[in-house]
This record gives sequence, C-alpha cells and structure tokens, in this order.
Amino acid sequence: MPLLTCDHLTAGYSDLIAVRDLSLSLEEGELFGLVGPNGAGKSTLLKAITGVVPLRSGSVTFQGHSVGSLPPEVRARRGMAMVQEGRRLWPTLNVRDNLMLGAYHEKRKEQRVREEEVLDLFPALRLILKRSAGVLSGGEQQMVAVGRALMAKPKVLLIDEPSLGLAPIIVDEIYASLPTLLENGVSIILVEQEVRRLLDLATRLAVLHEGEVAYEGDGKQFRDNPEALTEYYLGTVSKQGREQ
Amino acid sequence: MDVLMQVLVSSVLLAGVYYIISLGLNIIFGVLDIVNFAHGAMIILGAYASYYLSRLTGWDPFVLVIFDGIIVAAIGALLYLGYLRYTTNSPLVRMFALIGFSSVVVATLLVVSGSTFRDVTVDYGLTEILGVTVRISQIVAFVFAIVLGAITLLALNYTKVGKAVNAVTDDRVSVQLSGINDRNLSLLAFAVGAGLAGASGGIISTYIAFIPESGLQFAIVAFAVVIIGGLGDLRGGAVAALVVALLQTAVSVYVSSALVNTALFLTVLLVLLFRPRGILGKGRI
Amino acid sequence: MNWRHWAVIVAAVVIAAMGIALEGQPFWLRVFTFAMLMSAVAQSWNLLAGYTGQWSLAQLAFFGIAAYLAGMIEIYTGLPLLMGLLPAVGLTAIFAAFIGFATLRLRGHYFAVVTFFMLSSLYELVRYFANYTGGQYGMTLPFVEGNDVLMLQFDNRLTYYYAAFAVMVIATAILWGTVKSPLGLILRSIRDDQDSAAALGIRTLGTKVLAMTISSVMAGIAGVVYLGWSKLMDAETAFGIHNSLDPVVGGILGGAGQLLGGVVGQFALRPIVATVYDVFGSLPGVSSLAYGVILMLVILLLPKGILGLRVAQGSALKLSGFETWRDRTGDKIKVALSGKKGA
Repeated sequence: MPLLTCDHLTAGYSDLIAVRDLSLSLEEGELFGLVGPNGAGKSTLLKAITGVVPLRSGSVTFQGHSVGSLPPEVRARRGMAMVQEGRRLWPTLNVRDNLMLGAYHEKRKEQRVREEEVLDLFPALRLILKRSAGVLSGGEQQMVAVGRALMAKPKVLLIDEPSLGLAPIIVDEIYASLPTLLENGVSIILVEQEVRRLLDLATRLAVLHEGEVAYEGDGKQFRDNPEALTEYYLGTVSKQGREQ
Repeated sequence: MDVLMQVLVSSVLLAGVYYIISLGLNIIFGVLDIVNFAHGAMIILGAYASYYLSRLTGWDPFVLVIFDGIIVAAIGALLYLGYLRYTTNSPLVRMFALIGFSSVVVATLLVVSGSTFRDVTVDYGLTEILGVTVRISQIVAFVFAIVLGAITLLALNYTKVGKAVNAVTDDRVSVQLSGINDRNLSLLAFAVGAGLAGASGGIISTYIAFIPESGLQFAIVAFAVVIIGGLGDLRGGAVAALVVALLQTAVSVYVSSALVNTALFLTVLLVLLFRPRGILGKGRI
Repeated sequence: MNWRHWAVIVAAVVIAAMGIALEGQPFWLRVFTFAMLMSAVAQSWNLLAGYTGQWSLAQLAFFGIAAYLAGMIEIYTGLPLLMGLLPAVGLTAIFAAFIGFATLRLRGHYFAVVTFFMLSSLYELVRYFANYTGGQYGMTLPFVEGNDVLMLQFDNRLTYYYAAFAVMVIATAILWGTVKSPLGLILRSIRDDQDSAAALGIRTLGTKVLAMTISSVMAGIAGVVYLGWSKLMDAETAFGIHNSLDPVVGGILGGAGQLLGGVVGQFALRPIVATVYDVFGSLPGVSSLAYGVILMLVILLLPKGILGLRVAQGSALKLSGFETWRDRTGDKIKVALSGKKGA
C-alpha cells in the first residue's frame, strides 16, 4: 500500500483552481520528484497535502487513513513534514530554538538526541546554533528548514523548491543529504525547478502542467535527454502522450 | 526645576505600569493580529476585582494584583473560547467586536458598582527621590510592574511555550506545519494579554481612585503606548511607556490636565504619519 | 424600475404614513424621529465603512460638530438654524477633508484607532472651551413658541418627524447617488483591494477623503436638524464613545455595504434601545450595555447585516464567499477602468 495517496484532488485559492483532479501516490522509500513551470500547481499540491490549503474535492490518504479533513498540525503530528518554499524560519528565535520547535512535543532529552542527528547531517549548523535565524544566509536557512522538519522524525518529507535563490554549491550540500534521509526511512516528495538534479535522485517523477499531471513515470528516458521534459512543461504533450 | 524633577520622577514611576499595559496589548497583537480594543476594559476590570476582593478579604491590594491578573485572564480566555474565535476572521471585525465587549464591561460595571469613585489606594507613607516627594506606594507599584514585565519576558524568551508564542508572531503556518497547535497558543496569548491588563488595573488601583469610565482613559493610554512604540515591538513599548507617561504628566502640569487626550491624539497622529513603525522602527505596519 | 425600487418607494410611503398613525403616541414618535436622524448618520458610516472600507468610530463627531457650529452661529450671530445649516455643514465638510487627509493614509486598524483618539480629543476640547460650548452642561438653544421654520422650531412633534424623514431621505439619496456613480465603483475597489486600486492609477487618498467629506455632509445635516429638535447638544451626545457606537451598530446591523443598511439598521435598533431604556431607564449605562451586546451579537451572528442575509455580493465584511466575489468584481472593475483612463 502506498504511503501517501492523492485521489482526484482539487484545490486552489478563492477563484483560482490551482490543482485539478490530480491523483498521485508515494511509495515508502521513494523520492518522488515534482516538476513543472511556475503556476503549475506544485506548491499548491504540497499545501493541500499538508493541509495549509483546503481541499475542494478529492482526498488525501496517509498511512491508510484519510487525512483530508484534518488541520495541518494534526497531519504533521502523524508524520508529515514540510519544508516550505522560501524556508520560512522564525527570525525572532535562534537556530537551536527553530530546530527545537520542530520537536515541540518531545522531552528535552529526546530533543537533544534529534538535534544531534540533524547536526550530523548538516555539520555547518553546529557553529551557528545560537545565531538568530533572521541573519542567516540562504544556505544556512535552508539547512535549518530541512533540519526543523526532520526534528519531527517524519515518515514523509515534502520539500518545496529547496534550490530557489541558492548558489549551486549550497544546493549540492542539501541534495547530498537526501539519500541519507531515504536510507533512514524518510520518503520524500521534492518539488523542483531544477530538473537535472531531480533526475539523478528521483525514483519517480511527475510533470505538472496547469494543475494536472502531464507525465508520470520513472523518468529514466529523460536522464540523457532532459530537454524532452520541456515538452511536457509547455503542455505540448499531454499525459496520454498525444500532441495537443 | 523642582517641578521638572517632579514631572520626571512621576513619569518614570508611571511608565512602569504603562509598560506592562503595552506588553499585554503587543502580545495579543503579535499573535492574533488584533488591536485589543477591550484592553482598557480589562484594565478597569482588574481594578474593580481588587476593589471587591479587598472588601471580601481585607488583603493588601498589592497582594491582590496577582488575583486580578488571574481573574481577568480567565475572563479573557472565556471571551476568546466562547466568542471571539467564532467571529469572522478579520482583524477589523474582531476589533469592533472587542469594542462591543468593552462597552458591555463598562456598562455592567456601572450597573453593578455605580458611578461612585472606588478607592483601594494604599498609603505606605512618603519618601524622597532626587529631591522629589513621592508616595512609597508609587515605588512599590513601579517595582511590581517591572517584575511582572520581567517575568513575562523571561517566559516568552526562555520557555518552550514562550518560544512557540514568538514563533506564531513570526509565521503561524510554519508553527502548524511543525505539529504545534497554534489555536491553543492564540488562546494563551489572549489570556496572558488580558491577565497583564488585569494586573495593571490592580496596580493602578493602588494609587488612584476609579470609576467604570476610567477604562476608556486607560484604553487611550494603552493604544498611545503601543502605537508610539510600534505595534508588536516589545522594546519600543518600554521607551514609548516613558514617552507617554512624560507627555501626560508634562501636559497636565504645564498646560492643562484637560488637554491630555488632545496631546496624545496629535502625538499618535504625527507618529503614524511620519514614523509608522514606531519609535524604534521595529513595529508592524 | 425593478421590484427593488418599488419596495423602497413603498417603504418610504409606509414610514411617512406611520408618522400620522403614531401621532397620538409621543414616545414612539420620538423614537422614530430619532431613528431617522440617526439613520442618516448610520448611512454616512455606511458610505465610509461599508462602501469604502474605512471603519471609523467617529462618524458621530461630524453630526456633533455641525450641530455645535450651527448652534453657536445662532447664539452668536442670531442667524437662525436652518440658515446656519449651510455654513455649519460646509465648515464640517472642510474639517472632515482636513482630518481625512491626515488620517486616511492609515490603514485598517490604525485608522480606526486614530478615530478613537480624535473622538476623545474632541470631547476634551468641547469641555475645555466651555465658555463657548457650554462645556459639560452642553449648549442649549433658546426655546421659541410656535412654528418658526428658519429656527427649525415646530410646535408639533409630527413636523419634526417629517423633518427627520426629509433628512433620512436626503442622506440616503446622497449615498445612492454616490454609490451608483463612477465614484462609487472606485470606492468599492479601494475597499476590496486598495493596493490594486492604486496600481490602476486611482488616487486612493483623494478618493477616500472625498468619501469622508460626503459622509460628513450627511451626518452634519442630521446634526443640525437634531439640534433643532432637541435644542441641546453636549459633549457626550456628540463625542461620547458609547453614543459613537450607535451609527456603527446601526450600519452593521442593517448591512454595511447595502444601500439601505443604515436605515434598516436604525429602524431595527432604535425600538430595541428605546424599550430597554423604558424598562431599565433609571439604571445608568443601560443603553451602552445594549449597544455593546447588540454589536457583539451582530458581528457573531449577522456580520453581513439584515440586508446582507440573502445577498452573496455587496457585503463589506469578509466571509469566505466574499473572497470569490471580491476577485470577480476586481476583474470587472479592471475591465471597466481600462476604458476610463485617468479615473
């Protein structure tokens, strides 16, 4: 049984439907990549899965349970964690506190243990634990954001555009940590603009175009031919493979 | 010169209470995005709580301050749980709902207690600071306020819950996504804000007599402090508390006590026009 | 002319006829006379808050200022009230423009808080300059026997009723005219999304000031006629925070953003308040208790007001369905305005 399923999911904002009748599933141990042009609905999909945006219709099933009507903090406690686009740390708190709140409900001892695990993954954070999150560089912020999500020991990690606004060398570090996460039993949905990195890591891949899935598969055919993906981006080829 | 020293010293002592009034307002604003129009009413509720409690128990009003805080915090919690959270989620609408509540409170107090001035002022005698005669109760009030403020700030910055509250003021969605129940934090913030207001009322009642309408005057002071200090800026609130206390005292002494609100109005207007983020520039627009 | 227009005309006729029907009941005649005067103020609040999105607490202040000015004009220059109405309301409008210019730059809650400060300041000032205004005892106008239209003095309660009726009609007509004009469209675009409006080239500050000025005229006329009726104006009536809630509650209860919101609201509110007064009258604070409770209940249960009950559109308050309407109307406005450069 898949870990996470979206079934005929429709979601959006006021007048704008961003995601339309979308169905996807995530298996355990997978890294599922989600690509598509701006406005395709990738962020909205993640927000609908985590509960930040309400579902218009359809359902989200996580670990066999329907979670579509649950508020975000309940879904989070069940094992869903999200790294938002733009990081969204808490600037009035320092790095350690930002991390700690990710494991808010745990006892102090357990929090320290998990913090250590995160620091093993991102050693650079050790030096800046007491620094205010508001003054961090983009790369540091991204590490803290991912770390914060990991503090909850999630089963599913949803990451929204981690490379946005970051220098490639920093992005390398973030991406380097992902295989470790997979080994540790965290399944990942990764939304990215930078298709190439995704192709190396993703077990499966979907291209979103105007709120619908234009392609879904293991992406192998694009490894040596990433340009072919753009056709799905632009919507010239639909899910059925027919020319539009 | 004597008069000036008098003004300065009384202002500093007054600023203590003004600071915790603004602290309560800023916490509520930071977490809930609402300007608590009922803050003045909550302050006067605290004062009346002291009055009735002291008649009941005969205890020293300073001791009663804690109870005032708890009582008004409870009222605030009930208001939030039983009413506020069900209203339209718009800060403006909720503000007007709180104005309604403020009217209800003041009117109820009028009905219950009438318009006689109530007095639980305390007389510990007089002393001198920098050549100015002050009542010892004023100094105790100041110390009480500072201690209460310090405890609140320590709790905000060093406890798990306090940090969560801070997080909500920064980014509520992230708090939710981290599995933390933000609605409980909203409730807590509102109750704490109300409690601080109630405690302020208790403290204020130790040195002035009051009637239900005094709540409106306290509301004016409270808003003046948070606007001048910058909405949501706790440090700015400290500076602004002093500014407002000075302004009030100076205008009373040098111009007329009947023009204080006009002075506050003009100051607030100028600040909003030229420095909308408040004195230290860290407030929220 | 659709059924709505007919409904309004019928309602107006009914209200006018009601005056004659109530002739033998001075209590109710008074209640509804006051209701109609206050409905003008509520409509003025409706214009500023319901249609332009600026929630003021001080609308009653314009009512009071115009009354004070007209009264002082009569006392110091002998110019009778009805003739003093024009300069009084004119000066009030100028004051409103100034105040608006200073305060309408501020958004949402800041604006509301500042109006609160302004109210308390005006209250103080009126009492400070007691020599001119009568201070806390208020300003009383000499009572004259018989009918004198110019002094707005009638010996018949019924005539006051119709004077108030005229005021209500005038105020509603002004509101209607403003709302239906191109200005009305612009006001609503400011209410819904000021930033988008500004991006389209709309002079948001100037428009808001205009709205406030127009609303002050509506309230001001009511104030002068009120003075003719009651012969008394004091700081509490004009600038008391409790009384200031009256037009707000009336506006919200009737429906902020509805053409007849202020009227319906006041006609619903006044009998309630009057009855409360009648029953509990001797207890001070009872009317503010009534306002407070009603305001709290209306916001909770009926935020769109009575007239907003069946209406999905046209409400000033944000409910989830409103967001949809807002965006849709925003698009309509953008289309409409793109054909009107420099609007």
